[in-house]
Amino acid sequence: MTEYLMKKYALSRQGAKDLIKGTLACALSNLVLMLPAGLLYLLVQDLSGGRIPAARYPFYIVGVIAALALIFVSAGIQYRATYFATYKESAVRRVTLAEKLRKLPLAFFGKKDLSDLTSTIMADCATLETAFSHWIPEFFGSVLSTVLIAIGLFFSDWRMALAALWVLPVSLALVGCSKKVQNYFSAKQTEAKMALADGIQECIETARDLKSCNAEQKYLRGLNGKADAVEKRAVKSELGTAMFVVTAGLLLKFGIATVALAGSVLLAGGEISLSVFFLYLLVVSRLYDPMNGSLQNLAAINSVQINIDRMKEIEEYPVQPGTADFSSNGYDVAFENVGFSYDDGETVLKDVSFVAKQGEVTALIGPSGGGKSTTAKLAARFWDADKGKITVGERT
Amino acid sequence: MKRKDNFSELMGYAGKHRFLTYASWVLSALSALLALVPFVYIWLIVREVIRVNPDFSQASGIVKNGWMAVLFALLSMLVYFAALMCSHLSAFRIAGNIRKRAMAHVAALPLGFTEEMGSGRVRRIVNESSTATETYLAHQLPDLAGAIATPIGMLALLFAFDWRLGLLCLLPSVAAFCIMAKMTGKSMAEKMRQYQGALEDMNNEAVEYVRGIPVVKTFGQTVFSFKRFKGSIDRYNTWVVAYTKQLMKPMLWFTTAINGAFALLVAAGLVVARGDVTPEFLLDLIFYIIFTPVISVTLNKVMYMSENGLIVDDAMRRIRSLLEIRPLPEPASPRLPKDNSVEFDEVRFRYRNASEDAVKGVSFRAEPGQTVAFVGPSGGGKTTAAGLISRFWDASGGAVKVGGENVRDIPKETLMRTVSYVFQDSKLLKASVRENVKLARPEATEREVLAALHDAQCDDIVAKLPRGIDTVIGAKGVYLSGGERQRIAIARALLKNAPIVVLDEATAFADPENEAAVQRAFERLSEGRTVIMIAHRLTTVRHADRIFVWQEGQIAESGTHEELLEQKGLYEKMWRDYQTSVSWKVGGES
Repeated sequence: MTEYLMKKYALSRQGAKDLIKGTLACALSNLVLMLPAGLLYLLVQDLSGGRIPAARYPFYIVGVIAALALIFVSAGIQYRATYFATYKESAVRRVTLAEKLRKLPLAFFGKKDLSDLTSTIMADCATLETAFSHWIPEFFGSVLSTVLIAIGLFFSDWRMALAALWVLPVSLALVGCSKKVQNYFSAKQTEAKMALADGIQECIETARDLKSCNAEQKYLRGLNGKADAVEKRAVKSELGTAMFVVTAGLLLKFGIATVALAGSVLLAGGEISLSVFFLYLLVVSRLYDPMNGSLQNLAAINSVQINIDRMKEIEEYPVQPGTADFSSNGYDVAFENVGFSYDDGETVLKDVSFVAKQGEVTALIGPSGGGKSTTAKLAARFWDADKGKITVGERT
Repeated sequence: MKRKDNFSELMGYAGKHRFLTYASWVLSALSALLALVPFVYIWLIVREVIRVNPDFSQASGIVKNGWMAVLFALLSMLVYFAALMCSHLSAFRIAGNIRKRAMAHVAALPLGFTEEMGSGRVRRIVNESSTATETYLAHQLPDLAGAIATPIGMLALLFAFDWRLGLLCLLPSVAAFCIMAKMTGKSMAEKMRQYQGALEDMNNEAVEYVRGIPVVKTFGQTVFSFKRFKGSIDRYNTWVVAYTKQLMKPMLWFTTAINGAFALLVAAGLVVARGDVTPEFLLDLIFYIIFTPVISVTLNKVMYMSENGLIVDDAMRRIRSLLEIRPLPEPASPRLPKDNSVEFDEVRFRYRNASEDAVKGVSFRAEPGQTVAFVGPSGGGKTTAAGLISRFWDASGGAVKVGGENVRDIPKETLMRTVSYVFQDSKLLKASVRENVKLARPEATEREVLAALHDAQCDDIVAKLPRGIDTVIGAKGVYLSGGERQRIAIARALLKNAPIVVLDEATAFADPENEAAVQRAFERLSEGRTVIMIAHRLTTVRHADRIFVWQEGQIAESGTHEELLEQKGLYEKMWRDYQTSVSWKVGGES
């Protein structure tokens, strides 16, 4: 389980453990909220008998105080397990990313533009922070507590339980199906957002040039188009998600009707007692509230995967391996049959061999684009050569 | 109240969409009221069951009431859905309009400002602060309307059911609102500001860190820059934890309060049970028992209200700070330049927040068609002074004149048409070469574009690009060196064909080939124009009509090359140094 979560959500071991803890804590506080329902149920039973036996008074008083205390305490546990743990994990994630970034070959930075890269690190970290402190544990916690309560209901009367609970799997299935559609929408939305962010950055950076060409208005018109595209995408995304959330939520509400329906049939047949019927009405009227609440964040939960994938891309990018210690035999730089091409496939160096002796000045001359700078950069290992061997003081 | 100001300010961006925001409140409140109805039906079911007890076959209304409960629950959800759609449409429009307005403003600001503020920060304000208002408008405000409507609906129910029990159920709501009011208090707002400050600090460090990686890698000094970034991460983390800790207690009380209605109901039951329990009382009690979850659900939605309110406060403050920076004023009675001369009359200029003038009362004149050169040590004020000609900033004192008119009196469009500026580090758009060149004159023909590229010595650049002048610069694998970019910028200036040109020579070139090409392009651009040239290599300026030697914000010497050599001053010394450096030999043997 821990391993799975680590992989799926790009978490550290501690982070995955904390996520499980957070989920359990959320489930716990949802379950604790069922205690008042139990007390009220007993109270109604006693009252319908006309009076409460004197011996029961202490029970109620202690019960109420205990329930209130448990609500407070479980909320505290949830608060600690979700917020504090998440912030710790967030700091770990940021530091790990920063560590990873400096080990990446320069080729990686050539490929990315820096505003994209920085927004990846910072915005994604912030989104994941909220996701792991609110959305994800609350959602899974509510599913867990609802399922637990559902199992409990089956013990009292399976027919009534069925009537109350059939909506749960249906609605969860719907949520599961929605994932693909939502991913499509959010990928599109992210695309539009990136285009806008790049446009804004470019506009700010080239403001001088635009101004001196009297071209800023023209550029702004293009930028406004991008802003409009983001707005349109946002609306579509919202609509696409809301469809599923609302339908799933509506489905959950049907539970009340089917309980009333099944209850009246079973009551008339004398198969259940009045108090069982009342119990089910009481439970079904509040059973789905936590789930309905966390369904509101469904879109956010689904789109978290996009942020995580972007994170993973950086985390899994191959680093340049190397040893930390270095002892050389002099500082001669030697190229042996070195071949190299940049990512776009254009071959820059073909079978280059030479030795630059220590203490001498070696000059590389030739027209631009001839590979002089590339050679120097390979010697400093900004990139790794595709073919051949580069040695400094006889060490590769 | 400050929040109110924010709101009316936000509505200023909404246009017609503000009615959607209002509609979302009405719909959300309506939905909250509709959400109460199913509980009445559930109560009806219970009442009927108790009435017919024990002959349940008599209970004919149960199923119908069950469906009515569902119907109203569905209705409530659909109305809520509609409310959210309205609020989202409006919220997205507002965020979009903020972005547009902010960018239009940024584009009109004097150039020094982005350098002062940092382009990343400006982008964040424009892009992210506008987004930060979305949740507030799209969720918080409609949910608040719902949270207010629920207690009102409960007040109405007081008449139908036991009013004492109703009032008891209202108490938790009152408590919850009180706690929330406390959470938005002054000290919390202050904390939020510090939190945002730490966040921003961390983001700035991140940009610095990532930008620096390629450089830092070269020198193997990863630890230092990493430490700075890590320090900001740690500081942010400390803040977040402190902030969250402070919020913990009120949050726990809030959670307990909104879920605590049951305690009051049990207490009421216990008190009443000491006397006679009437069936009516029991039924009313049952109603409120079934009903209490509504309270916690509605109030739960506004739980993060205060937090979001503070986020919006902060976002609006940032946007305002940007919009409050004044652009350079356009002239009230515009005047047009009379000729192609450039003149400084006792011009002073000081950067914002600087303690000393960068240009200290400088006067000079460049006659139409003349080439004048600015030389001198870096930091002498050459580039700053040249920027004043294009009115990238306004002089703090004295007058900068183009064609005999103060640049403040020349409409911006005209001034830009009159003066071309080739920057030391010209930036190109991520667009094709053609579009980049045509930026100066969108109506230019293909032929004119090609001619400008040819004259700017760009033929070799175009030839090596995979798709010629249609190649998108900055796209995958297409990068131009500084000298190549400057040549494209010269092509742009040639196409623009302004009579006055300001040339800022690059300080260093990667290779002599490029340098020679840029030089030739400069010469082409100078033909028949008034040229102000900021030169870093003295060979370039030998033939200038007049050379001004800048030092510490002033013109120390002026004259032709020969005249200046005779003066045996700063220029003569620079010239000697320059001669020596040319004869410097590889290997350092000289």
